Amino acid sequence: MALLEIDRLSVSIGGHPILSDVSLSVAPGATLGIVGESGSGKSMTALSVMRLLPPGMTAKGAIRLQGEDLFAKSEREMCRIRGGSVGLVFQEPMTALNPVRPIGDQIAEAVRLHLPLSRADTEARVLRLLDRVGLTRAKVGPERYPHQLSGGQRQRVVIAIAIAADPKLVIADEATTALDVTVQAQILTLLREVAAAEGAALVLITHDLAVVADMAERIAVMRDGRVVEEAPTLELFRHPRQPATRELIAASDYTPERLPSPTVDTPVLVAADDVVRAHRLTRPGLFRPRPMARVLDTVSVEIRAGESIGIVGESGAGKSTLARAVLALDRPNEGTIRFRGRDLFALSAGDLRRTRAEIQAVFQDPYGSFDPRHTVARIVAEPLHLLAESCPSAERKRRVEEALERVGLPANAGLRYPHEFSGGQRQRIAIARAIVTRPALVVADEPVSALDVTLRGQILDLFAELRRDMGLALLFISHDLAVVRATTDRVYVMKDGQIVEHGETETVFHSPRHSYTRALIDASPSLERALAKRAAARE
Amino acid sequence: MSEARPRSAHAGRRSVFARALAHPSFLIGVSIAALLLAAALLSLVWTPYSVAEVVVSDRLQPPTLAHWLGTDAFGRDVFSMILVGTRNSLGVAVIAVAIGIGIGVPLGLASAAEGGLLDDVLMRGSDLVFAFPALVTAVMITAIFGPGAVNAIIAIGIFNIPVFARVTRGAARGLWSREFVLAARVAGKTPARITVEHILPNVASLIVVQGTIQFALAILAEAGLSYVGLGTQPPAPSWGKMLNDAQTLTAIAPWLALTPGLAIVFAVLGFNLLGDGLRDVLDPRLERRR
Repeated sequence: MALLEIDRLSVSIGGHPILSDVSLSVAPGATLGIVGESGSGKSMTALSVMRLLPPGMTAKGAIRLQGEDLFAKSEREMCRIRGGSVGLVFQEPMTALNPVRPIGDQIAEAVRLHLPLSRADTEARVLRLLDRVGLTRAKVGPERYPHQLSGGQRQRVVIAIAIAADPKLVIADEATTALDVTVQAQILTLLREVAAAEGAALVLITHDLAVVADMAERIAVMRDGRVVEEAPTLELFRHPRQPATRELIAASDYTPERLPSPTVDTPVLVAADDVVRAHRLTRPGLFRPRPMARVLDTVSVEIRAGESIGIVGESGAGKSTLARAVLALDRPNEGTIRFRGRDLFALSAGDLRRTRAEIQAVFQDPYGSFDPRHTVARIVAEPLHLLAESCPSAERKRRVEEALERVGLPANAGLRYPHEFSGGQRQRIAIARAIVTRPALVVADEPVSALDVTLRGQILDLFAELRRDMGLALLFISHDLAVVRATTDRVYVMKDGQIVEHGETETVFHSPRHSYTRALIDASPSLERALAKRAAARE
Repeated sequence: MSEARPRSAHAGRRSVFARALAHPSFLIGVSIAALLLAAALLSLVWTPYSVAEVVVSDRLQPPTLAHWLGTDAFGRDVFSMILVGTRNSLGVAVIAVAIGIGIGVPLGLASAAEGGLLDDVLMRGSDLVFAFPALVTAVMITAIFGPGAVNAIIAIGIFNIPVFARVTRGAARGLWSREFVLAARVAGKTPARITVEHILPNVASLIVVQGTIQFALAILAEAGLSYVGLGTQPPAPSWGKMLNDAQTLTAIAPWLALTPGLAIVFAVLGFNLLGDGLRDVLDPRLERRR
């Protein structure tokens, strides 16, 4: 008998359907992956199982856990099931823990709520759980507070809480999306080990196909609130039957059109030499000097006209700091950054303005990078003031319309406000703003990280098109190796503020010389590798 | 993935009116404020009796049809005095809050935009102002420059400056780290221009709400100063002064103390409700779940 059975579940809010006829089942000890774009209903399915749907939503159908109908349970009984028979791991390790209580207390609470143990037994169990998730007493004891832990360690604590009461089922909703690749690999291994050791079934919700291919035996693909296809992993990838599945697979390793790399005699656009950027830490003592922490440590980067350069590395490596220095936003403490041979930080105000018109930026957050009170036309026109003298208002209007059209938005989009657009369209608006001055270089800081795989492909296509048509150089910053590999000519690998390796993208990815590069490549999920492993295991 | 969309101002703007009509404390606050304003304006053109008119034969009359709220020890009409007192209180509060906004908001904006030494100096300066008990300093100012409505306004205004500077700086600093400000910097805009185009419009609603609450506090402060004789000087009527005059007569003429007291409570309550309501109406995220 199935451990969890979701039977024709339909959820709606005010007559508007969110989920329609979702049927899924999970066998004891099995791992089911649920994949799909954002808004396809993955998280709503998980929340329905826990009966934690937001107020105003009504659910129809049936959800049975070990044969018992969850919709027939009282709220009190559900409280015993949540965190008891079913453990949950959420996406945000930063907010999933209570910041004012030690982690040991938070795990003990989960134990106490569900198991009738004495105080001493509870404490022993907490230690065992911490050990289980790889947080040993010597390194991370139960008396630590969440802010003293890294993101990965916090997610380990969240997992310890999820398995505190020997659950039959663990639901992980985008549990590793917010983590760096190396940490992601560790957490995924941990989830798998823990589930196997405790005999728990695992439901893994993610938009990352490579992750589910590696972890799950069966995969359900969702779109628009329906399960469009459900099959064993290998079969699903080898013989996808539905267009939705095929599109997802195609998008996940999407490579935009390759442009010829610029030749060696192409003029150098940006040359950063031995750039050091440091910030002061707090004083160790009242009369002691404040020590400096180097965020960028003698970093040298070169970008030729029309070239696409990738910067990869984990969070905190200094990628964004480098971007801000190249954008002439933050002055380096040491070293120089030259644009067309002239020092960016020694330019006169007028020259700096003309230079800024040639270096524009696209940021990560498609929601936060626009002033919510401005219309799209005003947002896109913002950099045009850099060309103020030569730009009368009719010309401005024409340029804005041209930029919007170029990124594939209707010309009347300018009259609307950013919130009226979807995430992918907003990133197009951000790109329109970046190209409106017809720059020579666009610095893109994680431009597709917040987007779904299908949208990601479209935005990467747009970048390729703009590079071809406008001869644009691109400084592409990302933690996603696959994206960088698909879009850049040369790549710099950063770790702890230093560049540990650089070279032609294909060479670096194919035969990495530095051990860190190798670790990064090994840790980043690869659909191909996961499927090969699965196929080998079956034979 | 569940991304929480930040509320957009435009969506908010469209439904502000609808939200306001459904918000009880906002409606009550607006009604009280409108009533007080009407009373203040009315007193400019008409009062039942002149407040300077002393009719000793009519002294200490309880409320009657001729004198709706009775008369005081000099036979002046209490209702007329309340009307003029409203004008006086609102006038002092408006100017005091204007001083606070006019100086405090630019300081807060500059502090957030510049950071560093300027920020440190301004914020420690405001700590210093906060450290002095407001009333004691007001007493000091009026002791040096002499009592009077103008000095009371200045004293109250000075204490409003750091309040607005703090509120503005806090909100502005949050905005400075947002990506749309970064984008404006990439577009080469100077900090001053970013402050005017992006920061100020986004903190405006916060300042309006704080202004309303400071308004209520200023009314209270003016009444307090006048009560101890440091605010509005006789014969000009003010609520605080009326309370003081009534003090010795409470046993024989309770209406003399009750009416200005109730007027103060009414005004402060009204503007506080208005502030609370405005906060919810302008920023629905903060609305308490009922």
